[in-house]
Order: sequence, then structure tokens, then C-alpha cells
Amino acid sequence: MTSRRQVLKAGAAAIGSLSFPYIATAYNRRPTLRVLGTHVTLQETLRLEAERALDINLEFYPGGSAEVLLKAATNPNSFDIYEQWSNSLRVLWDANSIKGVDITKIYQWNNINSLTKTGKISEQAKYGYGDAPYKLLYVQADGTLGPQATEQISFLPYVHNTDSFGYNTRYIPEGKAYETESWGWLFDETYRGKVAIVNEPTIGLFDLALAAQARNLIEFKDIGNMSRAELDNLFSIVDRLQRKRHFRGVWSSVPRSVELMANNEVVIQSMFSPGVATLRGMGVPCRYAAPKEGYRAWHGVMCLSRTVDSEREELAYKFMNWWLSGWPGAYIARQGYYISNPQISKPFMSQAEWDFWYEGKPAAEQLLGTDGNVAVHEGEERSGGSYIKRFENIAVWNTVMPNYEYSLTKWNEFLFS
Amino acid sequence: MIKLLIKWLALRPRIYLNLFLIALTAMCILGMSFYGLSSAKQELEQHARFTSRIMTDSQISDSIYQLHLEAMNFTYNGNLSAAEKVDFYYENIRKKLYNSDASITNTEDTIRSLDAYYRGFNQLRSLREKRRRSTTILLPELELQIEIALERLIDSLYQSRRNAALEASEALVMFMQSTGQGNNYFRKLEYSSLTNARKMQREAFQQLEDLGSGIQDKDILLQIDDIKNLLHHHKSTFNISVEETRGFLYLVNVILAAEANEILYQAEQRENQIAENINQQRLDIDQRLSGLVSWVLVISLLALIVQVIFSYFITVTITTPISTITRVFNELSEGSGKSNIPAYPQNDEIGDLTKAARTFKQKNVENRKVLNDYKELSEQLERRILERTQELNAMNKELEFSKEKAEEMVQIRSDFIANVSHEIRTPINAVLGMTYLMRHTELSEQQAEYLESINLSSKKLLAIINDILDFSKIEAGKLTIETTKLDLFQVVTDCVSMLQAQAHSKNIEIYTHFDSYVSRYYHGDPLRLGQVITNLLNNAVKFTEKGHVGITVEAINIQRLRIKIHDSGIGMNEEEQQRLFRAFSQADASTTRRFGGTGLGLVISKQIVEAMHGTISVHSEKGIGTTFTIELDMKRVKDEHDTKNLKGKRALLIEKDEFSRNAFNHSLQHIGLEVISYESYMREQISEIDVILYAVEKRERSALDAEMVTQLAVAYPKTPICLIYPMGKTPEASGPTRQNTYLQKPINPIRMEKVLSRMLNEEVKETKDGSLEELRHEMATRAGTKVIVADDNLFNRQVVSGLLQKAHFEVGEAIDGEDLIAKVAQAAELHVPYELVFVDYHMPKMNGLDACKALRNQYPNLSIVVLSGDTEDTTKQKFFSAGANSILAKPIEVKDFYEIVLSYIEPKHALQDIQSDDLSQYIPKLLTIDTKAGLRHSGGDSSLYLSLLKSFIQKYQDGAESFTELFNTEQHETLAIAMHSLKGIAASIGAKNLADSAQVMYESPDREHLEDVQHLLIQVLAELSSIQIEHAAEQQIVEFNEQEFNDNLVKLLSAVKRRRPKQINPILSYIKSVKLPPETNTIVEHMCDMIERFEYTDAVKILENLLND
Repeated sequence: MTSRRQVLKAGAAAIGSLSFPYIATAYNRRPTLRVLGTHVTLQETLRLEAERALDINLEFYPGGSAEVLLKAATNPNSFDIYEQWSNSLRVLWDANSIKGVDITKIYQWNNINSLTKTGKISEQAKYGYGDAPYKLLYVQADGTLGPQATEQISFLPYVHNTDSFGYNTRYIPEGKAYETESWGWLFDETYRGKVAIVNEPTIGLFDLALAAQARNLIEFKDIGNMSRAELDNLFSIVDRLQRKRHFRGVWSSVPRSVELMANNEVVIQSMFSPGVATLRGMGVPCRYAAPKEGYRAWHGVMCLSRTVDSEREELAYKFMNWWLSGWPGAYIARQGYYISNPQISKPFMSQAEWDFWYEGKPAAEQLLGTDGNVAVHEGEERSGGSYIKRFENIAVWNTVMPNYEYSLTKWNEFLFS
Repeated sequence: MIKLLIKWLALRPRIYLNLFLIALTAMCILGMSFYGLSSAKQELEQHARFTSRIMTDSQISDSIYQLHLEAMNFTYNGNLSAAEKVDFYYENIRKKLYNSDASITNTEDTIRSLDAYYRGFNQLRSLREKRRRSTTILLPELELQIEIALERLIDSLYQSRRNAALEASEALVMFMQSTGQGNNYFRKLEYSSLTNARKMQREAFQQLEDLGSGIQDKDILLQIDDIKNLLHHHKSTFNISVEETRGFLYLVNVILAAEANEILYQAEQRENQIAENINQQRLDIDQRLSGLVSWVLVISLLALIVQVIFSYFITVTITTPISTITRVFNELSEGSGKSNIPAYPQNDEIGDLTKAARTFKQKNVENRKVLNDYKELSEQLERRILERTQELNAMNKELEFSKEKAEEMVQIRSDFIANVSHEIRTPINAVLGMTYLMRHTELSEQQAEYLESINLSSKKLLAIINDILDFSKIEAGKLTIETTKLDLFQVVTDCVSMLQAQAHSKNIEIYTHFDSYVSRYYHGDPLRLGQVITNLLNNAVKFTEKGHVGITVEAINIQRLRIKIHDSGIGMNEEEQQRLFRAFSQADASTTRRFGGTGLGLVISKQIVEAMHGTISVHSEKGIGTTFTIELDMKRVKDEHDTKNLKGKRALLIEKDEFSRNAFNHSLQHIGLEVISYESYMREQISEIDVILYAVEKRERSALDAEMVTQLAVAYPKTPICLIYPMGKTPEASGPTRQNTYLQKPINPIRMEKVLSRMLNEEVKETKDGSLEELRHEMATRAGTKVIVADDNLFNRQVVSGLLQKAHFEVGEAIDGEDLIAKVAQAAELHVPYELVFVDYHMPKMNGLDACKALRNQYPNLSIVVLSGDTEDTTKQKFFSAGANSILAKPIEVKDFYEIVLSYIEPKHALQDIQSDDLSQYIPKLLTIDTKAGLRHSGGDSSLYLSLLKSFIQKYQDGAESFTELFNTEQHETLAIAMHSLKGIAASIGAKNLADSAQVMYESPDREHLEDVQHLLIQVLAELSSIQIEHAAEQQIVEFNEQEFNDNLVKLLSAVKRRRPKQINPILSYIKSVKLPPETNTIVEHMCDMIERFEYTDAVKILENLLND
């Protein structure tokens, strides 16, 4: 037991060290750019590499998603660049904290794929419910956001991924991608007391909704914009389960989700890709499901502060262009994330890496993660298939719904029922 | 073999052996039992320890529930004491977790979650305050500003462009609707209210923009731009409030809820583990104890068997011969001695016994004789003892007599010393008196010096004599302790102030600190207690070279006090401390020489304290300091003192020094104030502050202080400011404070209470007449005026310019008379002359009087106001003849200051007094509305006025009911905002009574006032509905012409779509005037109504339907 705990601690520390908040203080005369965002993209290696490549100082201010959103929405002076997910975009735009990005200054604009431009990665792809990023991409003539192409975009498309749930195959028999694996498993009473959900209503709410829908307990008119009545209905289902002690609880950080599964407190839960990778690295057979109902997807947004001055704006464009310059896309691919212009990042990956991460093929050799440890063993295969295949199957995008405030109070009820 | 052993072993060793074996077995049993018991005891103790620790652990979940309950109490009710309880529970739980049993595995996780919870709570705390500030202060203020600005715009537009005025009034209505929707969002958190509010905001803005596009008048365009800026500002503040609301909800419902949930889960796990652990322990103990019991049983059984065997052996070999011999002895004692002693050939003691029996028989006769001799001797001895006892008694009596005599001698000696001391005191007092008198005669310097020496020496002598007198009183047992009602604050304060001068001369501060449980009145001896405290404080000050001396009074329990006197002085080592309380000893003989004194003080103090049934102790470290602690039993007297007028008042305390800040904090709380304290002035406005206490810095009053005080005076214009001066510093007359409203360190709680209650009561009176607020308002009409202040004192300059800048005056500063004249001349050359000069009297280079003369010669129309501390008639006369217009006394009273400024400066933005136009005849006289006044407010424009009345009706149609709802659902903030805006709008239409009653309701919301407001509102609405009808009757009726009507509808549709009220209104009045077929009329009326209520989207739908038909 003790040794297991120590291993856990070590694992958590390794993840923590990647994302621990810090402020890089610069004493030289290089210009400085301030970036506010989450741990997902505000990584030290990326910061150092960008500083070196652009000959600027970068200050990263990472924080919890709600915390950085509040900061950005109430004080546009607190950042030059804001990095988060598309679900925060409407709030920032309404709050007048960010301004449009000029696509003529984005050199890679033509290479950015259709996922954000038209909403579909391929002909047969689903748009997915909720705030699909293409709906918010262009700044329309009347100042609102919409899908009509213009010269100005509200965010730079870059990192994105599909999320689902992870399960421990030691306790749950391995299912088949897109055939047997289902969000409904989250509500399976066999796993009572061993289920966890991510503690973020704009994300975890959809996991619960997809699960309820998969079990035919509820049907949503639009799962990306639930009415109050639908929310009431959904949470009465969830609360009933919670009263039977169905959920072990909620998790608020990736290391915590790793811990919960590694010490067998849960066997199935909402998960993010790095958490799954860490568990597998520790020898816990965690499988990242490819649910037949489709994924819950998210899209990273990089925004420009409304109050940025011309000098910093220039730096900001440099930094944006750097993100699309190939190396960063390859770097984050090794953590399981995708970039909006993959063809440019391809030369920065080995063929084996490209085949595994983007093509969904079995690993031709063992692959290293960004921390230098072995992340993928030879022959291993990524669940859910290729990049295209995964993004063809989007059920819903992470979304701040109009009834966000109401969903928060419902979330509280769920936690305490 | 046994026979041989018996032969070999004598009887005694045999018995010993037997006893030894018995003892051995007994010891075995004892040992085993002891071991068993002690290990059982150990187990039980361990179990008890474990259980108690575990019990503490299991209380954790209760505490967590309490923690979360209090956190939610704070979150939803803003209860500050709940927030403090959260802090308390957090610390408490954390401590418990730290000390919890190592066998519980999830402690670390629980602590982590607890910390996360607490972090979240702290974020919540600050966010709550931010949100409160945004939604209840910033937003309503901005809204009020915008409403006022719009009303002013309507005024300015009226004369030239009535339609534009109408549009502006529509913008006002739109804006009001947006604020209504916004408030609705903050109240109900509905998304639709939020989008509506934003939509109305955009429309109001658009309306203004449209308005601006048709206007060339620069002044009006500037006004419109100002309002647009305000709207921008309002929009971003609104957005911030929305995000703060969301962030707040997120923290409460997601972060805190999740962590609380996790902690409770962990606590549950702990409880399960605990139950398991306890069970396991009990099983272990059971097992071990039962093992022990069986061992003890086995050994006890073995020992029993061994004892039985040996007992039998002894009976056989010893008892039988002895009983035979005993029989012989019995016979011998009866005198017969018939039986023969059997012959035992044994070599042991039995054999000896038989021999001895024989000898005994022979000696028996001789013994009788000896016995007789002995009897005689004893009688003699008894007689002699009796004699000696008598002698001793006599001696005792003599000794007692001597002892009494000796005691009497001591008494006489003490009495003698007491008398002598008393006798010495009289002449010394005479010496002191004479010295005092002589000092006031003419003396040479040397004589004065000698006299001072005499004075000092006499005082020292007197002190010594006093000490000796007290000491002898104590020795003579004459020390009496009175019991009267004692004012503890007074006693301590008196002692402190007695030593203040001495302390100040050494640059030491004396801090006083009363713990909040200490009452003010006790039964006790004030003089004796004061003597002890003075003595200890005196020592403390005497032996402290730098740092501080403090006196702390704490209540140990309801009737026991602890008084600590501590210093940062030279301190003492162990040995010195032990000698302290002995008579005629100071810690170090050399200190006597250095610091003086008899060394009796502490002995006397000790005796006094002991006579009061108390204890005194000392704790000291060489070079660090000394603390004397007195503990006394004192009975509390019920505090009849009334601090009601200070109860519940809020004080803002600004003090740099932490030590002093804490002390002030306690003292203020002790007299019933709620204190918010800061290290320095925070820009953030804190609401409901009744008094501000600002501690001036220790050094010369710095510019920073002046700036801070000015900022405070500006930020809290109605709140009195009490300056706290460092010890020994007297306040100079300046700054916006009132006389006698300062405090001085060290804190004197009695004075503090007096000063504060006086300040607060005065303030109550002043705020009631509200004139300051009006003056401030009026100041705004003079914004942009150029004023210059000449004063060599930076602080004074800053006060004046701070007050003026607040009213948007352009303020120049000059540091002396010459500078002033140069600057005034320069401004005149540049054609931007100063209109008003404030000049100080005493300045270097050129004083105020000369400057005044020089200015008056050159600028006959310039207004000059002299600032002077000296307002004697002669001074005034001098200044008036030098050409000054007025004299303002320093320290400056803000009210007087404003009045002076207003009396010398003409309004820059005066309202025009406009005659009513010819349309006014349509407006009848009404009972509830002063229509003349209302018309005047609308710039005399009847149509504008009528449209305002219309908007009023629309806005307040359901007002009465909605107010009741707000009142019943206790939404006081929203209700207050509603009352505030009702007051403004009612006043602008001339409904003065309604405006007044709304103001009353705003100030003191209760049901009665609410009913007044509703009653008046209904009356006003009822009367207004009648003029509407009359006004409608004035309209012409136009015959229906389908082509023309349809053309107008098309125009109207496009105007409505583009949101152009300017174009809409004429078409609307045409449409209304057309006589329509009844089936169309209803729908057209409905459409017009929609447009008038700005529900354009719905109106467009109706219009489109109409045109399609």
C-alpha cells in the first residue's frame, strides 16, 4: 500500500512539475508578452522554446479555467494573449475583453483545416451540438460572431481534442470502439461507488447528459442548449443515482483523476488525454473509450486582448504565428492533442509518430512522450482511430449554455444530494 | 535421605526455607498478576488514548458540516461573524487532522481538500465584496449619473429641437428598462434578462448615436459624447458585474461544493477506518489479556500445591513436640508441674526447648523474688517523673511571657518608624513648598540650579520616606485594603498618564491594552492598585532605554484579572529575579546607584497584592525585557455605563504600526464599535463607515499624511475623521478636521469614548440637514473654474486643492506671496485668468497681507479669500482694508469652504429660466403634481413634458404592486434603487410629494412609508390618466385614405427596422390621427403601443402582417 502511494505521489509530482504555476521574471531588455490561460497549453517547455525562437520574454499566468476566465472578462489589462477553450469565447466577446484577429497577419491561415472554418473535418462528419467553434470564428459586420467568412476572426484556431471517459480494463471488460463502448456505462449500477465526473459544469454536465441520453432516460431537444426543464430532468436522474452512492465524487485536476483510478477508488470516469497517458505509463490498464454516441470535443482558442497596444500586438501576432509554425504542433501531438494545421507539423514528427497520433495506426516502434519517458509501446494502438475518424464523431462541444447560471446551482444540488 | 536432611537442618532454617518457598510462590503470583495488570493497564491506556484521539477524529465531520454551513451563511447572508467562524473551523479542523492518528491513511488527502476549500472560500470572500460593490454601488451610481445626464440633455435640447428632446427622453426610458432588466438578472439569474438588458443598452446607445447624427450644436454634441462615454463605462461595469456574479456562483456551486463533498467523503472513510481500528484494538487486547489470565492461573495452582506440601511437613516435624512442651509449661504456670518433660533426643531447637523447660522449672522460684524487687523500683520512678513535669510547666509560662514582650517591641519599633517617617514628611513638604515659591522669585542662574537640586533631592527623599512608611505599615500589620467601586480604566489610565512625560523624554511609547472581556467597574481598592501599577510602570520606564512599555489587562475568568506590565528594558538574570521581592534589595547594587530608589517598591507592591489575595510574579530575560504579572481576584460590578450611542457603529482605522493598531482595535471594539482596520488608506470605498480614525506618523507630519487625510475627506465627505497623534505631539490647527476631535497616544479609553461619542452625535445632527450634500452638488455647476491656493504648508495646499479638484476645478498652487503674484500674472497674460485666490497669512518672502494688497491693486475684480488660524477682529480688519473679500478660519470646515466658493463664483452651467409656451394651456392644474415646476424642468416644453408624463405612466403602471413584491421578498437593495429612481423621476415631473415620500422610503424602508409611496403613486397615476384623455382630445381627426395610410406604414416599417425614433414619431402621430375602420383600429393601436414601449421586434411583425393584408 505504502509503495503504491509513493508511486502515486511521484506520478502526481511529475505531472505537477509540468504545470506548476510560476511567473518567469525577466531582467533583460527583450520585449515581454503576457499570456493568461490554463495548464493545458501554458507549459514551461513551450514557453522556453517560444522565447528562444522569437527572442522575446514570455510571462505565463496559468490558472483554473473559471479563475482565468473571470480575470480575463473583468480585466482585459491583465493579459495580452488569452488561451482557453471555445466555451469561454462568448463570455469574453460579450464582456468586450478581446478583439478580432486579422487573418491577413496569420501566415498559416490557408493551411488551417476545415474543422474550424466550415465545422466539418470531412463530408460525412457531424457538426456536433453546442458551441462548435466554426459558429464563433468570424467577426461579423455587426460586431457579433458567426460562421460567415470575414477578414477578422475572434480567435486563432490551434490545439483541440476529443474527450470521453476512461475505464480500467482490469475491472471492466474491454469494449469495441464505436460499437459497444457507450457513455451509458457511466450510469451502469455494477460500478456503483466507483464512478467519477470532472468537476466543471461546462464539461462534466455533458458527460452526465450523454450518459443519461445513451440509457434512454432522457431526450434533449438540443443537448448543447438545455432548457431549465431539461436540466431539472437530467439532474433528477443524476441525483437519484447519487443518493444510491453511485458516484465516488468529482475531480478537479488531472493528477487527481490519475490518483483516483490508480488507487482503485474509481474504475470508470470522465478523463482527459494526459491523464490516460499517465495511468498507462504507470501500468494501470486504462482505456480511453470511443463511445458510439460520439465524443465530447473541445477546441483551444487564442485571443487578443482588447487593450493591447500596437507594440504588444505585433509580439502577439508573432507568438500566434509561432504556434502554427510546426514544432509546437508536433510537441503537443506527443501529449495526444491535435493542431489546426497538422500538415505543417508533420515534418517535425517521425513517420511512426505521425502514423500513431494522427493516422490511428499501431505504433511501429516505441514512442517517447514530451517528458522523455516511453509513452507508447510498440504495437499499441490509439483508441478511436485516426484524427479524421475521431472528429467525424462529435456528439457535443464543450459549451457555456444560456442557462449556465442555472446549471451551476443544479451542479451544487448534484454534489450534495 | 530426608532424615539426614532433617538432622542436618536446624528448625529455624527449616521454617525459613518454608517461608522462603511460600514467599517465592507468592511473589511469582504477585509478579504475574502485576505484570498482567500493568500490561492490561497499558493496553487499556493505549486503547483509551487511541479512542480519544479517534473520537476527536470522528468529530471532524461535524466540524466540516459546521464549516460548510457557516461558509454558506456568509455566502448568502454576508454574515461577517460566519466568515470568522469559517476561519476558526478551518484552523480547528486542520489542527485536528494534523494531530490525528497515523494509522488513518487519508489524512493528507483530507488536508489537501480542506486547504483547497479554504482557498476557494477566501476567493469567494473577496469576490463577494467586489460583486457587492459593483452591483450595489458602482452600477446604481453610474445609472443615476446617466439618468441625470440624460435629463440635462433633454433640458438643453428642448428649446431648439423638441423632437430631439423627445428622442433623448426615449433613450432615457430605454436605458431605464435596461437597468430594470439588469437588476432582474442579478436577482433571478435568468439569461433572458441578461440578453434583454444588453439589447436595451445597445438600443439606448444607438438612439443617442442617431440623435447625435442630426445635430451640429457643439455643446450638445459634447453632452451626447459624455453620455455615450458614461454608457460605455456602464456597459463594461455591467459586464464585470455579470462575470463576478458568474464567478461567484462558480465558486459556491462548483469549487466549494466539490471540495466540501470530497472532505465529507474522506471523513466518512476515516470514520470507517476508525471503527475498524477500534475493533481491531479491542480484539488484540482481549486476546492478550486472556493469555495472561491463564498463565496466572497455572502459576497460582502450582504455588498452592507447594504450600500444602510444606505446611504438612511443618505440622508433622514441629507442631507435635511443641504442643507437648506447651502442656508442661501450662501445668508449671498453674504451679503443679506434675508432668514430666519428655526427652527428645533431637539436636534441633526442640531438643534445646526440652532442656530449657527443665531449667525453667528450677528458676521459677527465683523469679518470683526478683519480681517483687522490680515493683518497688517502678513506684519510685513514677514519683520522680511527676516532679519533673511540674518544673517544665513553670518554665513554659516564663517563655510565653518573653515572646509577647518581643512582639510588643517589634510593634513599638514599627510604630516608631511610622511616626518618625510621618514626622519627616511634614518638614519635607514644607521644603518642597518653599522651593516652589522661591522658584518664582528672581534668581541667578546658579541659584536656580541649586534650587532645582534641592527640589529634586527633596522629592527623592519624600519618595524614600513614603516607601519606608508603607513598609513599616506593612510590618506593623497596618496595611488595610479598602473595597469600593473602582473604575479600572481610570486607574490604569491615570497611572499611564502619570508616567507619560517621563516615557516621552526617553522616547518610549507606553501601550495600554484591555482585553475585551475586561469590565470597566470592579470592587477593589483603586489607590492601592494604582500604587502597584505606578510602581511597576515606573520601574519599567526607568529600566527601559529604548523600545516600549506596555500594560495589558486580561480577564482570566469572571472574577480574576491578570495585569501584565512589560518592557523591553535591561532585564534581569535568574539570581537577580530571586532577590527582587526581598526588602532593601535591587536587582543589582549598581543599578541603585544608576537609577536610584530604595528598593522597597517591589516589596511593598508584593505585600499589597498579597493583601488583596493576589499574586505577583516576574519573568525576565537579560537584555530582552521584563514582565511583571499580577493576578487578582476582583469582583465585577455591573457596568452601568452606557455605550449605546457607539454600539454597532463602524469605524475605519488606519494605523501603520501593527502593535498599536491591534491595541486600538481592541479598545474600539471594547466600547462597542465595529472596526475595519488597515495599515494604510485603501482606495477601495468601504460603505457605512461612521467614523474614521487616522494615526499620524511618528515623525513630523509628512506630506503623505496630508494627502491621505485629504483623500479620506474627499472619499468620505460626510464621515468625521479623528486624527491620532503620537505621544507628545500636539496637533496643529489644519486639515479638514474639527477641533477637539483628535486623540493622543497612548490610548486613553475614557477620552476615546468621549471624543468618539461627541463626534458621532454631532455628525448625526449634521447629516440630517443634508446641506453638505446639496452644496457639493451645487459645486458641480462651477466645474472648470480656475482657482489658485497660496500656502507655504504643503498639507494645507493639498487640502484645499483636493477639495476643489474633486469638484473638477482647475487648481493652481503657490508656495509664497511672490510665487502667487507671479502665477496670477502669468495666467492673466495667457488670457486664462484665475477667478478666485486662497491665500495664507504667514508665508516666507511675502506674507498674505502684502500679497493681498498687491493683487487688489492690479486685479480689482479678483476674489481673494484669506485662510487664517487667527480670526481676531483686528486681523480681519487688516485684511479687509488690504482688499480681501473674505476670511476663512483654519482648520477648514468643508461646509464653510464650499459656501465661500459658491458665493464668489457664478455658476458656469446655470439652468435657463424659460417661460412656459403656448401649449401649456393644455396642461391643467393638478392636485398631486406641480405641473408648473414639471414644465420648468422640461424647459417649458409642454409636448416634451407630456411625453415624460407618458413615460412615467408606462414605467410605473404596475409600480405599486412591484414595490410590494420587492418589499415582501426583502429585496431591499433593489427596492432602494427603485425608490431612488422614483424620487428623481417624480421630482422631474413635479410630483414633489411623491418624490419626498420616495426619499423617506429610501432612507427608512418600512411598510408604512411604502404604503404612503403607493398611495401617492396611485393618486398621481389616476390624475395623469385624465390629462392623457384631454390631450388626445386635442388631436385632429384625419379621414382614412388607404394609399396614404399604406405609404406611411411602409415608411414606418423601415424607420422601425432601422430604429430611428426621429422618423418614427411624426408617422406615428399621423397614423394615430387617422380615423380607421374598427377591425384595423384595434391592431393599429396595439402596434402603436408596441412602438411606444420600444418593443420594435414585435411591432415589425405586426407591421409586416398589416402590409401583407
